[in-house]
Amino acid sequence: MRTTIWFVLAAASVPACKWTEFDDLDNQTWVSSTKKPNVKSSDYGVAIQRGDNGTESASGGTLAVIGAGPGTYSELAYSPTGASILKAGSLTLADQGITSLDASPFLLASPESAEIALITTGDPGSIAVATGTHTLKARPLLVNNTSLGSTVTIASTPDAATYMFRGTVAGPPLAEPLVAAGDIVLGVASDLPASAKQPACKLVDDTTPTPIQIRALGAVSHGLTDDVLVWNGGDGKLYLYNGSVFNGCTTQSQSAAADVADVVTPAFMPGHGSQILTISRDRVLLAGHQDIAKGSDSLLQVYQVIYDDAGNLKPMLLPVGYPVTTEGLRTAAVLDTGDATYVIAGYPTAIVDGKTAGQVLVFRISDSGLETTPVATFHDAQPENNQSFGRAVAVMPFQGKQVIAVAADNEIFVYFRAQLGDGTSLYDDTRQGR
Amino acid sequence: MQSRVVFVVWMVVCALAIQPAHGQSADALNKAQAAFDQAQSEFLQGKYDDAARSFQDAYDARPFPSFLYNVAATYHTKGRKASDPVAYQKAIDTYHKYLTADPQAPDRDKVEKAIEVLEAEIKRLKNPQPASAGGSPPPPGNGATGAVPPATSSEEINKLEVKVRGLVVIESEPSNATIYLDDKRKGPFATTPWSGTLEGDHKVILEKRGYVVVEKTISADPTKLFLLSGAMAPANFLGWVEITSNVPGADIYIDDKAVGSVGKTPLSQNLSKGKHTFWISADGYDEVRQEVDVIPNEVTPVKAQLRGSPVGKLNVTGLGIEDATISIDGKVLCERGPCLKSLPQGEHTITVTRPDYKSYARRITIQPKTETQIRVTLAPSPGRGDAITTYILALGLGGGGAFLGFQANKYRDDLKKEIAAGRPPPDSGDPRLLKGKIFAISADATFAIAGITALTAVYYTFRDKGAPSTGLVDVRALAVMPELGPGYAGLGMGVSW
Repeated sequence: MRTTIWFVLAAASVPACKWTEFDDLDNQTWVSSTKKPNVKSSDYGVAIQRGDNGTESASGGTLAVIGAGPGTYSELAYSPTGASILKAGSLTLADQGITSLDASPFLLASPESAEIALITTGDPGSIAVATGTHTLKARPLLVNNTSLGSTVTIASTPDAATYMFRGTVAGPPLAEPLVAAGDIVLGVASDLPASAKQPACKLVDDTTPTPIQIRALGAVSHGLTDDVLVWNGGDGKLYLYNGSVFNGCTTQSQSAAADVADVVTPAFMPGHGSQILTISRDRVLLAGHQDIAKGSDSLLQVYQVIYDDAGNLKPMLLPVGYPVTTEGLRTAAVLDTGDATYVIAGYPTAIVDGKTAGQVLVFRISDSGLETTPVATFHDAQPENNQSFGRAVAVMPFQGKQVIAVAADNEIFVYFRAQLGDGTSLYDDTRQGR
Repeated sequence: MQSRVVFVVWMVVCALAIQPAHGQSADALNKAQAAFDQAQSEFLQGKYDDAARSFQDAYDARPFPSFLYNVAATYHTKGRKASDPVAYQKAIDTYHKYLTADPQAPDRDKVEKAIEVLEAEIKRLKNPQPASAGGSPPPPGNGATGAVPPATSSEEINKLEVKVRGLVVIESEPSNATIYLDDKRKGPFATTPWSGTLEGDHKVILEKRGYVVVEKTISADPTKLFLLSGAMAPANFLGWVEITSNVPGADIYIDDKAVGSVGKTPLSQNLSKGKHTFWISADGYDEVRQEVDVIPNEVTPVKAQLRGSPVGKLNVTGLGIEDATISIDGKVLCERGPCLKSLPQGEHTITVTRPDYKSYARRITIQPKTETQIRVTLAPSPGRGDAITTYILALGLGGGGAFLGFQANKYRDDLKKEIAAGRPPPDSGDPRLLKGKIFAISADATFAIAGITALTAVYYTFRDKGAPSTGLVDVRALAVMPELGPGYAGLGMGVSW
């Protein structure tokens, strides 16, 4: 009898587990994880970009996501509390004539509006450019362009892309995608008169003279039309072109234009998909990586463009600070928190806790360039092999602030709050009701 | 001087007179015994007339009524063997003599019944019924017409049990000693001289005031004459106590209660001189304790006035009750059954317990002058294997729940720590959130199941599985009536229902 009573008392004294604590913990997490929603793609999240520029929606945020196999475009809408849903209006890219999607397609955000642009191979033998706001619509393809005087066969796979402001015949400048394939730069503007229609422009370094293997494009603001930065994958040279030369040019030699500058980058030959990210009016970040088949060398380096306001000297391109050469870089984005600027660099093959799970490194960008030691490291708290964490990164406007979004294999992470390695905040929680 | 001479002469005369008388008595007894043995032998040989004569000789030598009974039984047997009405008549006559010689004969009813049957048989033999149409023809030469003497005894006479008896004779010198049979606590059996029938082995205790107690063992043979003669030696150092109580049959303890009861009231016996302590007790009455100084050669009365509340009897019986303990109101009443005890009137709780059996308990109301009989049937206690199994299962489930709970808590603590530290920050899709939740829910569910299982085990422990122990209660009225006996008066109880 006594044993029985003791047993009952002991059993009654065992505290029951409050499983709702895990719901509370779920709410306390400041990283939102969204598994592949109900989209047709089997490989969700090969590219991500902000869905709007923060002015369209009063609250929350939107993230555009490209999936592969088959290609899809969809958007995740984040509520002010951070909850995500799949927005209606997802579309299959094949319906837009894009039947072939690159492994790492370009998904660019317009600096002017909420528009985004997807640049990929598209149909076999052609380059597809699709733009839109909260949707994508294929723009005129420029392959087999005749603007160079004769029919030019352009490589079907885009090697670089960027948005640039270009002057218009009348009215304010417009931001349009600029695409490079091989040594040719292509514009997609369609609203220009035929005489001024954005041409295909073949770039040659006439000092050699050799065609420029364009592996990255960037733009810096300089007048009505942005100047264009070109990164040569053949010799690593970085060129600065006056953007206006692309209007009507048939071929552009490096030395022919007075305002074309070049600089030899530190012996790094960028591969396909390398990026030139705009930091400010005169500063860019080179995020270069080798083609996957060639290696995993990487480069992060800040460059500054120095103009002679009097116009007597050619602009100069100068590296700022030291490069970051951590291997495995695949993509990067610039985050401006208002207080500081950071580069969010994705290393999807990085080994974490013994697993090839991938990670994202955050470097602070200061006046003296990149801080070579990452101020924060993000990876899945439960890393898994082939997770490809960081295969795409983006900065998403959310509640009027910028937050980090990271794509992994069929999973999207959004950091509504970020903490630096020293325990201080990269940015505080951006969600409401927390 | 003259009176002294007269006294001496008288004593001599008495002594001379007593000695031959005692010698004559012994001779007569020997003669009776010889005749008895002779009669038994002749009876067995079928010489019934001789046997009857020898039994008569024995009676003539010592007039024990049993000898007359044997004479009658011998004729009775002879008559039945030969359907002899003459023998039957002799048997009837001798049965009458027997009843006259022993008016208190314990078998009077049987003897009178035998006389009645024998008379009817004689009548039947002398007045045979006419032969029926289908009956057997009369034997040739029989002068009687229409009457047929019966060839065999009637059925009724055959039913009568008849046999000659042995005889036990208990005598003492001096006579008038109290005879106790087997145990003094049974009370006095008779006084010497006594003759009668006994069977089996018995201890005979002879006690007489002023004489040493005589104890002898006899093995009575129902076909023999057995003589027990006790010569009692004077004991001047003993006193004589006469113990009585207002409640007859009260237990008597002398000097040491641990020895047990020496008898029941009324009781008279010798006791060594000096101070003695007496306890007299009866069920339902307060015990009486008396200190008495016993003086040699004097009679010391011990009278107990028992007082007590009205009582009723409780009689607990049943199969296997001898291994059961009977308790009343939580106190053991009888270590073993069957249990017959007096209880004060009123409500009581009786509990009957036996190892490996279900207890039987019930409230009973004892009424005065009644006997409450409870026949208890104890049911075997069921095994507790199911309870033990359920306890083990509950323990296992509890352990499993604890393990799951610890796992859930570990996940919770890790996540809390990592969320706070942010290096790396767990995300909302962190598998540990789901795992921990599943563990927590599983732990709660397992605890709940363990709790239910434990309660079930507790229920199994105390549930009354199987048929309960039962008792059949029967209340009988005890008639109380005044009772008078030699040397005492009190109340006696008879039972009716």
